[in-house]
Amino acid sequence: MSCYGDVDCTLLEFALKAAEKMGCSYADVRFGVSRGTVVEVKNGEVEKTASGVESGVGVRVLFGGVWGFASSNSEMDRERMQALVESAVKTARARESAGSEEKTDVAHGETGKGNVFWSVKKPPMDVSPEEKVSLVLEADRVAREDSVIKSVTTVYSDGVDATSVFSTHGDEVYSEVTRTVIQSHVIARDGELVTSYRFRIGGTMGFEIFDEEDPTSRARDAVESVKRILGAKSPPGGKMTVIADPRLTGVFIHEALGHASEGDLVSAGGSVLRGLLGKEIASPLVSVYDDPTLRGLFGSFPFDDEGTPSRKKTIIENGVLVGYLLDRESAHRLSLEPNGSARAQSYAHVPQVRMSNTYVGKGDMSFDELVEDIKIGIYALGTRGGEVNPTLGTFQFGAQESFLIEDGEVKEPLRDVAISGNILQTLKDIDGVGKDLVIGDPGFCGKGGQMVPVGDGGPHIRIRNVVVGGRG
Amino acid sequence: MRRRISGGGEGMIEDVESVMVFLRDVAEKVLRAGESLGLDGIEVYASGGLDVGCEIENGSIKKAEKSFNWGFGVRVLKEGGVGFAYATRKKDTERCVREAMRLSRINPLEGYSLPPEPGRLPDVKGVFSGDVAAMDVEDLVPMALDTVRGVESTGSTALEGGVGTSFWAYVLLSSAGVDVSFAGTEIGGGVFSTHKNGDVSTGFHYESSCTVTPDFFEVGKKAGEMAVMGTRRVRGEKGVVPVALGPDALSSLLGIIFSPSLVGKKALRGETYYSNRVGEVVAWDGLNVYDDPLLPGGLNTSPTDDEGVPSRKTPLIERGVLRGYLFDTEDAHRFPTMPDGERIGSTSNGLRGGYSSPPSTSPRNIVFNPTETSPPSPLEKGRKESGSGLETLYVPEGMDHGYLVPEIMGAHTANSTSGDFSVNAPVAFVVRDGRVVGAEKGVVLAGNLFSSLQKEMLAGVDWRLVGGSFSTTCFYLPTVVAGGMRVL
Repeated sequence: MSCYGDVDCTLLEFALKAAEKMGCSYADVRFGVSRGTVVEVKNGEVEKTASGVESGVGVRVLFGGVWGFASSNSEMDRERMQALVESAVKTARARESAGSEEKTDVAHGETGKGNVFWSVKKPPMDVSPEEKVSLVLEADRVAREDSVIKSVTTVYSDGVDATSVFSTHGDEVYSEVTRTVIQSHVIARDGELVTSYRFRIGGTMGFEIFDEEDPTSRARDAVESVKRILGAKSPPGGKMTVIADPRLTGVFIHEALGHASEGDLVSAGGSVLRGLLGKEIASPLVSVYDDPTLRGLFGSFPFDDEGTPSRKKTIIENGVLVGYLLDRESAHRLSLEPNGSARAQSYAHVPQVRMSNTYVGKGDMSFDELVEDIKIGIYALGTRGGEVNPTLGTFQFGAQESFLIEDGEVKEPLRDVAISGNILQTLKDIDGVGKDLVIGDPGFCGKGGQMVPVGDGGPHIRIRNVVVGGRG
Repeated sequence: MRRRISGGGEGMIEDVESVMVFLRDVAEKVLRAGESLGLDGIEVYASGGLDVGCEIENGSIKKAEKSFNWGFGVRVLKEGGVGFAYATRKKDTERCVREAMRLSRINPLEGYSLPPEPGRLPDVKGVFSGDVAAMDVEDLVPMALDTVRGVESTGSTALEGGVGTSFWAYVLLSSAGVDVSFAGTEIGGGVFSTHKNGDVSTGFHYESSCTVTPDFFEVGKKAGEMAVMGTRRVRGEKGVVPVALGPDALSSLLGIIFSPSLVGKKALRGETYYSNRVGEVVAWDGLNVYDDPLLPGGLNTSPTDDEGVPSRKTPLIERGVLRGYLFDTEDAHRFPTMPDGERIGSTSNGLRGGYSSPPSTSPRNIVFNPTETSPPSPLEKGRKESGSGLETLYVPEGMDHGYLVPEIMGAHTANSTSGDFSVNAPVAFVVRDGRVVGAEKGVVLAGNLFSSLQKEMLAGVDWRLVGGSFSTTCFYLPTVVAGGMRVL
């Protein structure tokens, strides 16, 4: 196959042969080059700019049923690559020599071949720094038009990740993915009251993303939202019915189900979903998917970091758990087929099982139907992020904006609503799913010290008996 | 244990001295590349290091890894603008300087100049150990197995965790005469344990230090004991009750809400709770907080910050009164005076997330002290830290009832501006008559951190250094019983 960019394919092939010669039962090698630019604007002034390129290589080997990994970002030649593979094997042997009893292996899945360039209409590298700054300054200016806004921080970043993955299973893939994102943090103050609101636009797209979604119009919406929150009361704490908007539904399903469906956690016994395949774990109204093939969305990718072609996975179908997210090792341990869910933050990180774009499938209810029979509840929108303990099944996430629902009507705004629950209980408490599917809210997900870009989404959903915490 | 440089020369440099030589060579080359480009100033920060790790899963060692990573960042001044670019290849030297020049066009900072040569530097203690720097995977395997045995000694399972060491080094050179190089080490490990006894519960504990190898058996044992106690179900009282936040839980809230609100530029722009409040009472009068970048053994301890400004201690809150904010040199240039006219200079808080980040203001080692006396030196505690005779679920003396919360989830969902938070304690331990009697799963804690800090606090004696999970900030603090939190 041909090689692109800075990648010397013969060096990657050499690494695999070296690993095989040393007795490794499996090896993969990843070469990554990342270029990127960041521009940060605060209150009309450019505060930080940075631009650069990083590259390096990571070698992972399976030796005697034990993983070893070594990475370096020094420039490589054969001698150095040989040393890197030796280092990976040595780490595996060190553990083996300790007499650790557990051996692992990888399952054979679909082999990845080919070069995939996800081309974009306006590559960020072709856009001048001045044009990037003027986009950010305009969003910043619009957000500060209202006198209640005390400060606005807007950060633009773009990046192109070029990754090659070669493995002893025969994978030989090269991909180039561009991501462009803008995020803004708007702070409002009225006397002693101070609060904030964030928004983010991002995707596997170039500068054209801002033709589709205008940062200035999102900035205007953010100002309206933060003004509502500023004058809002704290929510009543306790158990109640919550309607989540598509953005919040996305982060809810990411935290409350997505992590627990990750095969590494499941196979290690660290997930409440272990042993539940084929069982009804959610309301029959609920179907959940993870789909990295959706071009343009922030969590998309053509191949995973083991070289497996990406594919859409169904996790829950009409309430029944039908699949996990799997890399090659967790697939082997669970006797299933790998489905392309291995992701690493960079060449210097070992791939883990991760989500991509996770969303709840649409239902058939209108917003009015979801709200009409609620005596008292909360309509919660947007997200401040969340976290989960997948072993216990406890999750927590925060909404950005919310409103009281009383007698079937959305009423006054509330501030700082956070929602907690238990996965297996809460999934059954979803008793209404809207027909207004929106996927693609961009975010970053952290696990085991690695951050990867993800997308979330879904329709409006209604959840009963949710523990809502506001201010104490 | 001294390692050799591996065959590939700079393919993976495995000892600190060689890394230093390599980085200095790169930094000098970059500085020279800038000389002929008509710049008004240039600064190079070249950093590199080696991480070695060993991961545990389900009671055995799952994988081991080793990574060498280096790079350089260049800050240039040209025609009243500042630009920054980074690279990881020597051959990109000139391209990188030119890219920084290109970005200086869009980042005006009129009148700014790079920090001067720092003069005599303060001494620092407890941040570099030759033994730790020389550790390899073979040295870590027995430590990882000790951690597992510690967990298993309690009848629990070591679900996942690991031990790791790292060394890092940097060379900072500038056209203004700064020439600083420094190296540090870190060793640490932790484990997430589960215990089944009818019910399932989890426990987590970790220890880390720059120079002292923790007792990993004790680390595992603490995680295991926590899981065991978590299976004893008890129902605690709800409403506004005393909550003892362990050092990890407290530092996650402080790191999201409290320390960012002391960053000078945010405070002077009116963005934070502490804006316009210097000299006012903002906390309980028994609380003292300062940033000490010279704290022996602190995770951000070094003779200068990442701009070459000599490190110095900055008082933030003294007996409940707000004393000041934190600045790097660019922020101090943007905000030259406080509202009362006092001149602002860098407080030695210019930190970088690595070679690819330009310096920005960040708290370094925040010492959070709600006691009458000075805290013990982190170094004196040394190896005894994890086995200092305190119980795993240590309840500060004087606490009668309420909850002990070692870990919280969702601190990053707090409203950092208003201070409002609502977080989840996956396992909250119920305290009655001054001791832990059992645990409750998934308790929600809600409150406002700024309000809680104004209430009387009760501090434990279990001082710990905690690395920031959401920032580079290090905290040194004990378990603190805080008021004003609602338990749901």
